Amino acid sequence: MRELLERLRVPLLFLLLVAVSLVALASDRRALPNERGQDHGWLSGLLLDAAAPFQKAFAFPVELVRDGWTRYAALLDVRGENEELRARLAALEEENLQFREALIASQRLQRIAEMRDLASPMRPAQVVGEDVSPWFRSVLLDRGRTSDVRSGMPVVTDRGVVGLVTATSPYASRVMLLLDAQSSIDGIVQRSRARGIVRGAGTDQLEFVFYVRGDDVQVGDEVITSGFGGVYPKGLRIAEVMEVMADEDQLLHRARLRPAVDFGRLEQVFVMLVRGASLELLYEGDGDLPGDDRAAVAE
Amino acid sequence: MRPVLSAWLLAWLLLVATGAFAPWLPHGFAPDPALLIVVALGLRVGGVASLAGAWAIGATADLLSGAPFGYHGLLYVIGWSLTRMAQGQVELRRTSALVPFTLVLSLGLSGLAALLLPAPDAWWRAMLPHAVVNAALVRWVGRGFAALLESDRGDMLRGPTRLHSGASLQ
Repeated sequence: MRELLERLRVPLLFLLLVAVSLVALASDRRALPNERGQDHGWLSGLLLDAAAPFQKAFAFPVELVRDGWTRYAALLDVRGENEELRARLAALEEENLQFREALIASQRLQRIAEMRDLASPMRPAQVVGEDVSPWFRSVLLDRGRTSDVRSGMPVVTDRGVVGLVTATSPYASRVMLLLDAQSSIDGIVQRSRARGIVRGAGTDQLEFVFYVRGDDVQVGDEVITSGFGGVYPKGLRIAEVMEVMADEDQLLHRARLRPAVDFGRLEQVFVMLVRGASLELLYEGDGDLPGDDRAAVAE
Repeated sequence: MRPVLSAWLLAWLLLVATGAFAPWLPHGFAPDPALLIVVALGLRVGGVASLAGAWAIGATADLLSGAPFGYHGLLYVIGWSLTRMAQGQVELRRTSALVPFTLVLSLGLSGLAALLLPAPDAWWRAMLPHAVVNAALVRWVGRGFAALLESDRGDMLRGPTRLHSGASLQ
């Protein structure tokens, strides 16, 4: 009997792990906190936290080294006096760059505010990593719970909606992009007010599914968030209609959309420090958003 | 236990590094380093610790990606088991066998994933380059892992040998 158990240890563990994985998959609660009221346990939070600075460390040196090497090579033959002058120039350029970056960030915030009269506070964050698996479209941000970022908060740029925070740790958070095959938003066509669902297709485009009933959708139309669904505030830009695939026999029509945000060049994003009504209801009592934070957000 | 821990650490490091470089790669062209480590682990280490290690690597991959918990764990324990079974049939350590095996394994696991979760449109378009990149890199990742195991084994051997070989510790 003992020998049999010894021989069956691996198959039994295999079955156990498969069962555990299937149960976990079936109860997928990516945008919900766990029973302890936190998005991640301390171990998983630690791993996620550790990943963000590592990814930052891996990514930035590539450009820094390239840039640094070019400068170093160019300066090698220059005399000391020139080196000093160039160093001062480099410092001034750096300062200028920072001013320009600040200006760009300010202009981005202004454009976001213009999209809609948004009263909610925003937290700027840097994208430090992307999903390796082609099956999912998500990014890792360098801001987490210590910056008041919580699961269920919308993420935007000056161009439009980016996605939704689905997991946080103290110093990092993960955002499911609009492009993810499991993402869907209630949207309306700005011009005709035709309403439908914007779905991620897992590719670089989105799909808009809308009822016919005389609703008018044309190529070039802007699709914005409707505010229904209680996840995203109303009036945020989502995408532009590229192609309408009308089938007269179908009640539901489809359109292909080009996202307003260029996901290939996602660097800085803004986390809206509010959760929609639906998500707030889901989180209520779970302690994900502490009372103090809740009051701060309400302000 | 030590090879399994090494595999997990290496997988975590490679996942983080690949995640940092993924934005510069076309969609679908980023490899799955964790799967490659699981294959390397399955080729070299058997037993329950190794299988549990494959699942732990999957759980870590879930954490670092947008996947629901359990997704990569499920795929990797299946991948590990298939690697062990295939290793019993053919000599998988040979490149001529390992590369096509990894290609088929990557595509097969993608097919399984399509049954489990809502699949992206034309998912095979992204999965095909993903599988090809995995197959192209599996040998290198395997070598890196083998080198890590060798250095681990060297460290382990050096410790006790010194103690036993000395005539006197005083």
